[in-house]
Amino acid sequence: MNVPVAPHGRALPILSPQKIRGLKPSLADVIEYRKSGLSLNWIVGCPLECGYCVRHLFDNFEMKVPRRLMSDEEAVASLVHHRYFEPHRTPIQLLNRATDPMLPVVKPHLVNVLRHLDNQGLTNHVLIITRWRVEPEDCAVLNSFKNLRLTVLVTHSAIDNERIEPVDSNIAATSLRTLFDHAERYRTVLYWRPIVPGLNDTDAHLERARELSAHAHATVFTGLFFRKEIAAYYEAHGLPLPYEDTARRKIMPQAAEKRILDYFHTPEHLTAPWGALFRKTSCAVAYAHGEADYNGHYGIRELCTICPQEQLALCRSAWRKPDLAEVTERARELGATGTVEVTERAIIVEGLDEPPRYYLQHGYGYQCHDRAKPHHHRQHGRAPIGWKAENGTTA
Amino acid sequence: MVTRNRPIRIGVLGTHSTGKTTLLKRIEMELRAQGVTVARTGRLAKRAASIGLPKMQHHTSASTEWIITQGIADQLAAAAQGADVVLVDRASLDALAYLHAALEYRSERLDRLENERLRILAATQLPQYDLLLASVLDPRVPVDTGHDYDARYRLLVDRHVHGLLEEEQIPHQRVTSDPASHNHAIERALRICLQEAPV
Repeated sequence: MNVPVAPHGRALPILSPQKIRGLKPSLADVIEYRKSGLSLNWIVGCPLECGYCVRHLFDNFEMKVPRRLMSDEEAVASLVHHRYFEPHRTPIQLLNRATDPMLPVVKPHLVNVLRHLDNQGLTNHVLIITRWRVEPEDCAVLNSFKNLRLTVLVTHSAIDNERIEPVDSNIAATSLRTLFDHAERYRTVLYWRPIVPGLNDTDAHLERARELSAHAHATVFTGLFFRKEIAAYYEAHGLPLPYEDTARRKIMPQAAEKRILDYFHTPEHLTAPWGALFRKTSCAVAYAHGEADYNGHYGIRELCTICPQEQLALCRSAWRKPDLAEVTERARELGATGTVEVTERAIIVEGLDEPPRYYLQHGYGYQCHDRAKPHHHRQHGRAPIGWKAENGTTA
Repeated sequence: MVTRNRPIRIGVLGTHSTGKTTLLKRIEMELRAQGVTVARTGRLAKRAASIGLPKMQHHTSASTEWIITQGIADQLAAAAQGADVVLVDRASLDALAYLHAALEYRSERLDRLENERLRILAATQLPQYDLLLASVLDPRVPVDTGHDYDARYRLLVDRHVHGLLEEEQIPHQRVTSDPASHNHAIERALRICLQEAPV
């Protein structure tokens, strides 16, 4: 479809302080430290209405037209002056929470922020996630940044229930191909999600994903984030509930994972039998840029069982167990209580919320876990739904 | 850029299960992606039925009048909320086509003056629409199995919708079941809105 685009005129309006005060505080706070990076969300509101969107968690699902919370310049300043921001090290995510960065009305602001960051000479990873249209002229802009390590992740679910996934999957598929064909300085990742057994895991779905994965530098597959707010939306709209229970982490049942892995498995490719398929976003991003994983997933060895050998070698060489005394000192500065441990898998702390844990994790390239939320063997970052209990190693 | 003191209105009409709501939802999503505020009206027949008015092949002059006037009220309310664009799921003439189809279905005739009154009522809204999209029934496309429609009535509505549009020489765009036809309608709607809405 040849979509007419509004002439780029005035900037996206900034919400009044009164309206910003009416937002959930966590949404009004433009910076959030997430596992994949320090996330900057200075624009909220989205028309795409994906049933499983995290905006349900922020009471923001009804805001369909994007609006800014602050100017682009203020957003950049908030990011680079954030207490956990480290130049050239902290991974950054832009607009991954409350809007789609490639919407025509949002894109100029995204580019503006990217330009500001790039002009500062920053080489940090920057992740952009979209399911909307990316045109060749957008690729030219993305290629023009000289310093940032930019990755565009294209979300593709192929869910054909329009009430759950109102966005035509062909839009994302076309964007992925366009991005891949024009990639020079940036990389593109197929973000195959959310996979829900019975909804989008037929052989035809798997085949489509495999075909699309040929148009990406790497592919990540993940399950559904099914919190109570999202379940409530499904119920209110008469949608079939995919799971009986909700969970804190994404749900990726074992049987579904096995089907996907079997489908992608090509044993004759001796050094990469699963191709560029990854379980974790940061692993795919790192692979696409030819680097070791910045989240230190190498410590959770069962996550690496499908990785290409060359990637394993990269991660192995970069993976260093941090010095306990040094980690303890830094953790204490951040407010850690109790004993600090460094195991073969992770740094274990107590009393630290997610942001300081991610700060340590990205600082050392080594997993950092909360003792109160143990990562059980083979359940790293996953909900227990759809997995048999195992007496494996904890954290 | 032209600014106006009333929102752009795009109306759709056509017999049931021909993709009207889906088409409007797609237009709505595309407009919002460009920063345009949009309101969508609809569910008139359902609301009419919920207050005890007859529907489908049982329509009467009263149910038709309620749907037309409620539709007008909905559009005014949407405009008052400050939307740049109002998408009208069932433009006023649609109700008249449903009534004419119901009468033919039942082999009944409506009093001439009553018919004229309803026709004038529906016609008062026509100048309000910046674009009218009329869906065309494609008998090859299976109907959503969730609905138990009377096929003959559905066909009659289709004939009356397009008959009225031709009779009154009302400018409109036909939208067939072909995806290209839908895309063409969306492109045209966007072009009109993006030219005129205060984006």
